[in-house]
Amino acid sequence: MNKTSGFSTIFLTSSSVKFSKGPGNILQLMTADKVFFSRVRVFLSYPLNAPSGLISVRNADDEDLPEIGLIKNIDEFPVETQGLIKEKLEERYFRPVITNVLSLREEGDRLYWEVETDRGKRDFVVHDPYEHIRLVKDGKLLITDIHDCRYEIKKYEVLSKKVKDILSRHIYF
Amino acid sequence: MFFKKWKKTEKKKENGEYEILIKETMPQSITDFLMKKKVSMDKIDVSISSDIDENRYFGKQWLIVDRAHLYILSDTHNGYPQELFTFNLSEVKEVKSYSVISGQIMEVNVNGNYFEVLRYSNAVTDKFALAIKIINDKIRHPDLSSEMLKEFIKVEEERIKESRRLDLPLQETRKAASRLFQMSKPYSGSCIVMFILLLIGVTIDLTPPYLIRTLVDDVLGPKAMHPEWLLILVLGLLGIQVARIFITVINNRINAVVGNRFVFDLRARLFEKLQELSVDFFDRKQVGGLMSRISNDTEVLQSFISNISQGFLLNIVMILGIGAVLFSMNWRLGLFVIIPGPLVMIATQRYWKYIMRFYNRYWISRWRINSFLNTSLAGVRVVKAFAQEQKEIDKFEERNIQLMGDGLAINRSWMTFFPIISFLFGVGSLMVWYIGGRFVLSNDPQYHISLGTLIAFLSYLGMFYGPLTALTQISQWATQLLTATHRIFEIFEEKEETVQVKNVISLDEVKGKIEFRNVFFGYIRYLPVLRDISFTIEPGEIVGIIGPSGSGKTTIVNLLCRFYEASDGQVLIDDIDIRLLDKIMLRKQIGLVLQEPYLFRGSITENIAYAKPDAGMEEIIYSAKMSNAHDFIVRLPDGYETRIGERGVGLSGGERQRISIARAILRNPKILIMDEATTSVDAEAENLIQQALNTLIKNRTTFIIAHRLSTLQQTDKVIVIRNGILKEFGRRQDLIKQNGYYRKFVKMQSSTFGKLRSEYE
Repeated sequence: MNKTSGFSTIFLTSSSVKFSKGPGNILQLMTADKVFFSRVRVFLSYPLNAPSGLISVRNADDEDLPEIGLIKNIDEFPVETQGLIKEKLEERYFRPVITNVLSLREEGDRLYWEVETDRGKRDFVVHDPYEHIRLVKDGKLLITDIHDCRYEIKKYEVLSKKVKDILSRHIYF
Repeated sequence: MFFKKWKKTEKKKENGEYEILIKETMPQSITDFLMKKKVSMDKIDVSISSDIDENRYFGKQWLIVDRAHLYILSDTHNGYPQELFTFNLSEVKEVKSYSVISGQIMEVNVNGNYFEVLRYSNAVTDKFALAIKIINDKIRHPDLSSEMLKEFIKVEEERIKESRRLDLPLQETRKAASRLFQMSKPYSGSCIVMFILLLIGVTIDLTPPYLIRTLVDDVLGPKAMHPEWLLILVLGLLGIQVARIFITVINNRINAVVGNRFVFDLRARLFEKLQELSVDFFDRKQVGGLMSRISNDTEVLQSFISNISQGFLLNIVMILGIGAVLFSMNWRLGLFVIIPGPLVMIATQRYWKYIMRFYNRYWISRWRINSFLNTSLAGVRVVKAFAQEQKEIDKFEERNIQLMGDGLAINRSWMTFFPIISFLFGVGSLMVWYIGGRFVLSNDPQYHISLGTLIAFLSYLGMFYGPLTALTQISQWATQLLTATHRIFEIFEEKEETVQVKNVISLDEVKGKIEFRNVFFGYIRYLPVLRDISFTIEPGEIVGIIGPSGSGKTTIVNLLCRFYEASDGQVLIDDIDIRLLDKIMLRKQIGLVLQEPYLFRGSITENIAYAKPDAGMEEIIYSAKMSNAHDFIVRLPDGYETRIGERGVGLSGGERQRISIARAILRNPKILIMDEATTSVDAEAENLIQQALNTLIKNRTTFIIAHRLSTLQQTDKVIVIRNGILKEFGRRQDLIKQNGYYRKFVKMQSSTFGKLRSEYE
């Protein structure tokens, strides 16, 4: 009844599939036995800790988005394909890295941020920081704002003392 | 009521903004560009900008739609926008968006070919969702008049405004404070009395040192003039103490009454408000958080009242009073008393800031250990079954060590701080001893003070530093108070359940015809869960709804019960739009049996008669019999009077389910909605429930969210929902002939149970 690959895991390799880019900025896929997927999307199984491994490739022409297969290691694909897939992943996992906190203000259980990121300047609000700021590992912070937009801080330690003071009042490190 | 008043003023502020949401003012470069393309400005229906640019930086991309085209333009690059995409609306089949992390990607379907044209973050999704809807309407109905479009946009934008409230910053401090005062208005009389008593109390507190001065100087001293005053003065001191106790008791009593009344009122109003709120609110908020709000935050507010007679207000008055007395007695010595004051205050303030971090850590680790205990104990079966006891013990130990460490840090720090502060006080009083002592010994009349004055000074000093240190916590207390106030008023601000129209229609007798007419719905407005659902069900029909989980089955039920309202299209009962029906009456006609039956704390009788408290004993037994619950109930030691705990402790899943069915039977609704239980019921119980249902669904329009073929076999019609779209609808005999989901469903279930043949015949 469902059109997924079922219980077995299919791994896609550079010899079994060829990726290409369609006219409308769409990722496409051709298998070795000439099955063509005109619209595929890529998902990360471990977006936080494995940003380029175990990529799930799914068929977007079917509304259930069944899985076509998993890519174990993107590096064994041609450089062009890597670029293509990485671009698509970047599009899906848009998570600007905060490089500088310009201001951080607390009001009740909300934090008002004004930051510089690797994607430009941005203001956002985080409510109930304890739930929405998460320490991933090695001092990496994942922040989810009130709109469910995500931001990342690479190293908690390098933040200014003032910012750390405020954050330490809301989260446990 | 005061909060009605500010609600009104807020509405006014928003009014002007309706029109501009999907028609943003474009920069000169964009309008120039459009002029060059011969686009006339008054024919533009949509002009909005995203918040992420084509290179995935925070920036802009423009979506512009006129009568015939859809343009995607980059924001100004060196003064010129780039034309990223242009489509002829006549070739566009549909515009869609799909969710990615933090936002959405907009897709345009041009004759079957998809183009990913633009990306935007969740922060602006609502205006894009509206724009996409309007574009699709334009595509589907090219003849749509601009008048109708405008009207439609206005309605939609009003809805968006409502959902945007999330963005609004917290109420400013002043607003919260003024609300607090408004809230306490009914008690203003008592508050004034408490304040006056407070002033009297402080005045009384200030007198004993004065009397002691007289005692030392005029009664006991070497040059005493009035040794006979001794008894009078001691009696006077006694009288003062009695008066003080008297006033304290009265004031505290008034305070207790006012404080409790205040919180009582607040709690009552909160609960009332919560009952009026829509299901949506409870879906959004965690119930645990709400409970703490009602209990903790109201208590914080109670402290606001108690501070009128004790606490900060008292401290302030005390400091002012003592300060004034000290200076009037001897201003030079007074200055020396004041000197350590700021030092102590600054030190304490600093220290509080420092220690607060430890407190936060402590609270969080306590929270962690509690929630760990909670999940670990609740899941004890899993822990044991997977033999993970040791791991759980280790995890607990880790948290326990953390909690101990944080507790130690706080204690260690306090244990150092306290002696330092008392040392500072000690130095302060030593200074007064020394300087005051020199004044006493001095022969210069300009400096000389009596021994009694010095003693009085020293006793004032003891009363002075305490309030001073307490005051350093005032800002923290105020923040806490304002946060609590804000959180409570946030609930008062919430919109109440779906608005009732003025002239409701009250149907006495519902026949039970149900129709969905082009219904669209999304819990979050930009993520439609149901799309264009249409079907009609005749009175008395039994309809099964099937589909994968998350496909929108429960949402249909939610709309039918009017827990939520369709964002587009109509839901009709007996050919009347349910928005026109009286809501209470509507729900009286509907019986709901949930997948996870909810039983309230109370007896079985109370649970069965929940919606019909005046039902007689026989009536209750009758409905329990119908639901196959009677037999197990009478065997219980307390029969129908058995008390059930919160989660129906002591009853099996099937028994609880049958009680909830009895509840529905007793209500005798015209429309019955059942979410079939799939779990926690064994085969025999399932059979009993099945029989119960068979009696229940007679003569009623029945919806069954079905998971089993056996349930479906009683239905007249089947609705298949997938991804929010109605895929199949019709009689089972007809659907089985189609090669669709229903056929697969039957096949899959039959292959397990070997019932394939019977279904095909």
